[in-house]
Amino acid sequence: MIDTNVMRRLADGMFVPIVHRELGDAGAAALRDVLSFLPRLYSVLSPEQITGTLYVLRFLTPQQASPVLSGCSPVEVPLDRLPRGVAQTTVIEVLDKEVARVWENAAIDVALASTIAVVYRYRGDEGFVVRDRYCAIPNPAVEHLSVFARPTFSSLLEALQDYRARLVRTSTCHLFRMAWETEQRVFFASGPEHHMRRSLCQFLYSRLRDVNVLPEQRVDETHPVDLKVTWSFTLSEALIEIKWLGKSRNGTSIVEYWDARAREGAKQLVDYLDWYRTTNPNADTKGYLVVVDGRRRSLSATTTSVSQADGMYDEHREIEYNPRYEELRSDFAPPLRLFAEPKWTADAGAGS
Amino acid sequence: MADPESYQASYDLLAIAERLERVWDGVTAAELHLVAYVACLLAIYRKRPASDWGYAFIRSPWGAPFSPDLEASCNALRVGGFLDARTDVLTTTPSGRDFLAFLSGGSQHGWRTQFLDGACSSALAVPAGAMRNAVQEEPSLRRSSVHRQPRPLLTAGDTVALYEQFGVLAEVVGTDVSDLMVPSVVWLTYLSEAKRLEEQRLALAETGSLESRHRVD
Amino acid sequence: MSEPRPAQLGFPRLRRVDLQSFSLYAQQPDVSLPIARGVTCLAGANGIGKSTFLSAVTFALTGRVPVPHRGYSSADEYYQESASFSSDFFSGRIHENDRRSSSISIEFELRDQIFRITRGLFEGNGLRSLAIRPIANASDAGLADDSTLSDSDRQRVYATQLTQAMGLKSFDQFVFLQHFVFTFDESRRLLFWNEKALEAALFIAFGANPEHQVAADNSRREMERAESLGRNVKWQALQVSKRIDSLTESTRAKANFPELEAQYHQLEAARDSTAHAAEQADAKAADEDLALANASAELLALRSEYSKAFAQHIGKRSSAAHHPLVVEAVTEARCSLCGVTAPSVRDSVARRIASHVCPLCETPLSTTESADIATLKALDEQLAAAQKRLESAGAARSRLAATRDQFRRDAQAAAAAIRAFEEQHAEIMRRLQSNNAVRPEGLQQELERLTIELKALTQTSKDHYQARDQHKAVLRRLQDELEQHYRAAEVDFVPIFRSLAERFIGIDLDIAVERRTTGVALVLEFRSTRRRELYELSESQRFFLDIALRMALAQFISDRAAPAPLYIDTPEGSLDIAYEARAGEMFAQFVTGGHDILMTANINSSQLLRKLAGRCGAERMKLVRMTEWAELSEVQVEEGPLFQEAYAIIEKDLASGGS
Repeated sequence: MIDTNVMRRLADGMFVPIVHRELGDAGAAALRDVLSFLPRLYSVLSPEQITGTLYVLRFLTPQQASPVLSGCSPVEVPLDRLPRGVAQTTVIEVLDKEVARVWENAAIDVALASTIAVVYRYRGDEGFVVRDRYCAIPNPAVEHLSVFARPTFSSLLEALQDYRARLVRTSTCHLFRMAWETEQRVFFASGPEHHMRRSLCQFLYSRLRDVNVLPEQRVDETHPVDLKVTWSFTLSEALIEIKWLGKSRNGTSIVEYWDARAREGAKQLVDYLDWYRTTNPNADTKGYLVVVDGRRRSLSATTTSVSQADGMYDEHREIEYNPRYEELRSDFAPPLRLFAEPKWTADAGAGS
Repeated sequence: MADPESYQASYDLLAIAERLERVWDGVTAAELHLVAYVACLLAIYRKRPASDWGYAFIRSPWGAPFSPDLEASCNALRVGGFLDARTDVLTTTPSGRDFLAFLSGGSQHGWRTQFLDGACSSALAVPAGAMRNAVQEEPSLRRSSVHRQPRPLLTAGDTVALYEQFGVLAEVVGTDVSDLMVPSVVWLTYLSEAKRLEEQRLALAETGSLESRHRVD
Repeated sequence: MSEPRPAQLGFPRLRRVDLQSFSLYAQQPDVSLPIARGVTCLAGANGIGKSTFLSAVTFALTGRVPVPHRGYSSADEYYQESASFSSDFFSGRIHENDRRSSSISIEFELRDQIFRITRGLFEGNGLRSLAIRPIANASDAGLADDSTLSDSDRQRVYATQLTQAMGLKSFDQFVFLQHFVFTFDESRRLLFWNEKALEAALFIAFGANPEHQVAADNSRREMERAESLGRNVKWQALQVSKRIDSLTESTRAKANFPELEAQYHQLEAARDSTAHAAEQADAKAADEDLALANASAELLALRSEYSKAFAQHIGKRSSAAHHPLVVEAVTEARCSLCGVTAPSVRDSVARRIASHVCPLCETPLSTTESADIATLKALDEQLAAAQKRLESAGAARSRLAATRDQFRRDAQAAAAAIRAFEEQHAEIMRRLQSNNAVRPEGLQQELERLTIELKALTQTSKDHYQARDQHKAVLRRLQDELEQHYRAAEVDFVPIFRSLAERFIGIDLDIAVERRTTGVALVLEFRSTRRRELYELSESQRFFLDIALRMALAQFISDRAAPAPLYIDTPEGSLDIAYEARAGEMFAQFVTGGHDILMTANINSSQLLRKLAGRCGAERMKLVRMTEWAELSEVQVEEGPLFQEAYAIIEKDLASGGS
């Protein structure tokens, strides 16, 4: 059944239909040019290097830019010489024939510009300004990266390491954040695995090229594996099992898992692999155990925040696996432990 | 050797590669099949019969959507020097671009341009990976996903379901919109969003039952 | 004491069944099954081919597979008409490659002889082998297989010998008995409520002579035929009589002739002109159809040419220019053959390519490229033009189709108007056609002729009806005789039936003969009400009472030395447990009386089987595990342990049972 309300809500809020509605076919054409330009820009300019404001625009009809822009003289550059960083306000005009015009440290009349051009803005978040109305581009999971940055061909292992370092370590991914009970990131919320799954799923989609990521794939009768990754038109497949360690709290009831859970997870994954192989003998399958480590020291039932010492106690405490399946079988990758830091306060202690 | 019937597949391959290769640094085979499929869906949106498209798509055990004709054409174009496949991605060669320009000027392929443009533009407008994610929710692909054996896509029964969705889409977006990027983007985003909402509902149900199992330990 | 019973019939008792190349039983296509006295029960899951086994045995005996839902009119008609069903039946079950080799062999005893026959599964009218020898001295040659006989000759010999030994009038009768009376199969045709078949069975069982059943069939057939002829002739007479009436009537109606004549001519004119217009429109539309088809074909041909040219352009390109080494040389100025990177590499290779020679060996390269492109361009233009032609042909055709339809409707209306007029004024028509003014003498002659015709027809019709009545009388007489014989035998027969049926149903019942216009029938009476309507008994009750009737007939009709076996495809479901056990008792009683049963059962119809096993014991009952014959589905494999359990229980009952 189609939910017309959802569709209408989307159509009213998305930049593509809005641009077309406000600026017509010429607007759509200009938008297309901007959309073709942005991925190329982000292949040389890392969004983390944008500390000021970046504008990218394309006029609907060939224009003199002067009524709109002032400040300094623009420079025409080929696309491989685009700026590598943006500290203040930079405006890039998309031109034909593989060149762009760049105004660094410019002043721009956005309200006016957005009536005669398609205007893209990046300022921490990204969106389009259409007739002076800002239309944000929803970014499903991945922070500090633009949706226009292209995914790469890195291996799954590299992608998971990247996920660990950039998104889980300090919970920068807003989907992953939902796994915590509070902003303090001491306890997990109840059923955190759903959010972890969703976060990793979205991340992999945006990070790896040509993958299909399916959550909760039936492997055997009793339990589905958390994620199954397939690469299009190859036989490669990955089964990812996510386990979390630490405590999860919901009101007064607490669930906790320690190292044994990770070991169980390894065994479970091995069983899945074996079962999966009987029904899919032709696939080239590899299993990945991803352990989200939210262990903290000295938590009581009423703890609301932790000190740095207690929160970071387990930062380097690796988990002992026995047997070490990665040494026994080639289809089992070394388990990954993703330590997720809490927010600590200077004077917090156990029981407070 | 190319199947002599699939010149439409060859044209589409060149057209899509040419539009996207500079933006994406080359196009993978999987991306070509995906974007071609979206173009075909847009043709159906404009009420053209699926059979008019000129080649068919299937769900294969190794990925979907997949078109054997696209695959055959890809090989033929590569061997003939119109596509360069020395790395993981495909790019057009100068001969390929010349040939594409020649074909685009003729009478046989012009009608496809709006669908190819719409598909390529929407590929640029939705976040990476989101297009693949969304297209998996399209009725025909979704229906075929329970099967392990290869299955044809866009059969008569599927188009009925599609027309239903497209009817609503046309109402929401407006029937006078000529640029197909607009309905395409709205529809793909809708498919993703609908899936997300369903997952959320399921998760809430599961969490609800988890909570009832959460007793003091 | 009853009158002496007519000579009783003997029946084949199976000793062994062998199947060859029976593809349906994938695990064991060559099955060899000895049949012992008592119950042989084929058990297994659904869909495994139990019913097929029974049908195959019946086929072996009679050369025919029982046809479901087939009505019965007479034994010989059934035998003829059931021939083709058998081959269709096995086509679905036997692999194409096994058609010729597939066959069934059975060995049975009949009175003092042993028959051994082999029948190809697709050869219902012949036997591949036949051997008949006396039981007493099995090594005697007897009527051994004579290899000079043809398959159909063997069938003839078999049919003759069998019929004689059984005591029947014809082989058709045996087929009838086997299919309708002694087999209860998956089509669930009930004997009780199939009047014609039941009457035929009664004739054979209770009639003084099996010949009477054949005579009854014939009489009925003749009767029905005479009736039909009589009706036809009567109708003809009626038409003539109508004509006479209208003639008589019209001599009085002379006055409005000129007016009516004029009216008629007008209608004629209208009909002709609209018919003509419709014809013309048809022709035009046909022309446009042709043009459209032509344009379509042209487009198809052009597209095909375009495809070819396209493929040629792509495929036949000089691959030299696009070889990876050449491309590398031209774009990166590097030669992978010798490892040098220098502008001269690029220049030299590019020069050669530009001059259309191979960079490696300097052979001239083909330059057909521009020709291909020109062809493509030309075809593209032709295609555009052809498409336009197609579109305009399509439009013209639609337009013409609409006009033609309208003309057709007009023509039909005009024709209808004329027909109405003709019917209403038949006499006027005649006069118009004869083209003369009315002549009283002409009319009179006509009337006379018609009257004579009418008389003749009436007589013929009478004759037919008389013949019908004669046949009816013969039939009636036969039926009267049957009724008499039945009543005489009732005292022996009814207790037999009651004993079996009450063992199942557990309430007082009775069975009585009834004369109907259609013939002789049997009705059941429950506690003194006649339950004749189907819906008053539950479906399962119907099934098992029908089985009881067949068992009773088998017991009544058989010579003790060669008792009739029953072939039962057990109906399952919808009997509650108590009834199931009772059904088992009923079967056991039949078997204790000396008869054999070859039956199928779902291994889970436990109560029936358990009761039967308990009563019969291993001496008189054998369980055949068909799960070993067929390829099992995944579900059946999963249920394996359940089946093993069920088998084990029955086998335990067998071991501890019997008396």
